Amino acid sequence: MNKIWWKKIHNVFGISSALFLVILLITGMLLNHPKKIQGNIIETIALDPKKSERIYCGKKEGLYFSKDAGKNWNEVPMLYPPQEVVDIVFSPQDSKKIYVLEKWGRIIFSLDGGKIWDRIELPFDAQSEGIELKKISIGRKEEIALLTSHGWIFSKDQGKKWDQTYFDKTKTPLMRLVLTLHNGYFFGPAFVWVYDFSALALLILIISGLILWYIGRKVG
Amino acid sequence: MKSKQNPSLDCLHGKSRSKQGALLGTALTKLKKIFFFFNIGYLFLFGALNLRAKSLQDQDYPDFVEQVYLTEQTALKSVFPQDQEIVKEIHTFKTSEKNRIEARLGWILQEPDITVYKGLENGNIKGYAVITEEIGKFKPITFIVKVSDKGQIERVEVMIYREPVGTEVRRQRFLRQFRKKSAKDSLRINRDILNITGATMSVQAMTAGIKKVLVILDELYIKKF
Repeated sequence: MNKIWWKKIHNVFGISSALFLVILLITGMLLNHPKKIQGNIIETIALDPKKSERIYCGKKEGLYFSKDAGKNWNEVPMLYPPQEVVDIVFSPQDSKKIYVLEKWGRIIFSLDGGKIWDRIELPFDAQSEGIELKKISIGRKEEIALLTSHGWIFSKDQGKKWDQTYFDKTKTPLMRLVLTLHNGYFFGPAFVWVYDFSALALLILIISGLILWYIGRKVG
Repeated sequence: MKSKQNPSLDCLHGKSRSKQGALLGTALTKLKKIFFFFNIGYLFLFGALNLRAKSLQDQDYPDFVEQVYLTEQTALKSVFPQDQEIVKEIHTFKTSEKNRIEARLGWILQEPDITVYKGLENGNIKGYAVITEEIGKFKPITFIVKVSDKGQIERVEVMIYREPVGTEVRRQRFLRQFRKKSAKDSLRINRDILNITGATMSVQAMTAGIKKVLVILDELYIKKF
């Protein structure tokens, strides 16, 4: 195989890799700022076990409620509106007791069918300690089991005391480690922008490289 | 490979090629310069962001820092006009009042009472002020809310801030947003009140605290007149 043939192969692979990188860079930058592309989608939904036309749904922007089986939705009014609701659970004993879980925040609950709300204190600060709250389960005697990214905790007395046998806030889950290394959060929140800037720099390099190759090809 | 073109044309091509070559050379030199400055800038930005990220990581559990901007007396003086008499009243919530307030707030009311300062002019109430506290990220923020006799916010001032981050909530640019808001306004962050990036918890706490004061004053005093 002669030199020209190798050069052609090099060009074809170079351009296709560059295009592949362009896709990776643009999607990577957008994934680093999910709020810009995700919108206010439903993250979780729960039907009242006694009246199935009463539905609660959790979104990134808060907690919503429908009285008519989902035809009309209204935000549940409260003093501290929840954000990034990931789970909604009705008590198995009393459907007026509703528990709502925020991804990076709190458990809030209502004892009167969603009119008045209060919060349950957790033994850690989810947001500052990077602990993601995933799922909540309520027992027959109002026991609470809370699944997090760092294990699960259990309370028999509405969150006054938490059993942390299966929870270790010091450990970093491998998946989270990889994810934060990938998006830059591992080094600090500002590094997401450093990553974005690097991606943008790489994008400019690819485009200018292609332009230079094109000009060189025309001249040569 | 030998060129099969006419030698005279070859000469012409050679001229245009050398011109194009010179142009390419200039373009390349310019690009090199651009990339040189680009890289320098990139390194500076990288270093600055690295330092900023490090400082943010160190602030995960900040030390207790109490910054007193206004005392009770200076805060009251600053929100009430000089010619008004200030009367302090401690109101303990009755069960019926507590229930009504909780229903309007959609949140449980932990406080058993509230201290209200009334501004009187010739015996007539001209306004109310409440000094309250709400937990920001770790520590409480103390602030004063001055409300007119019609229930509209006239002024909000941060009196004591206890955390090293999020002090932007004491800036007038943020506090001005609450002016003329009343208990009827929902005060939703990012809809009625613009959030401050990096001070979300403090913004949430202040907004909730102000809403609570508005509803309590409306329920106890303003609705009655």
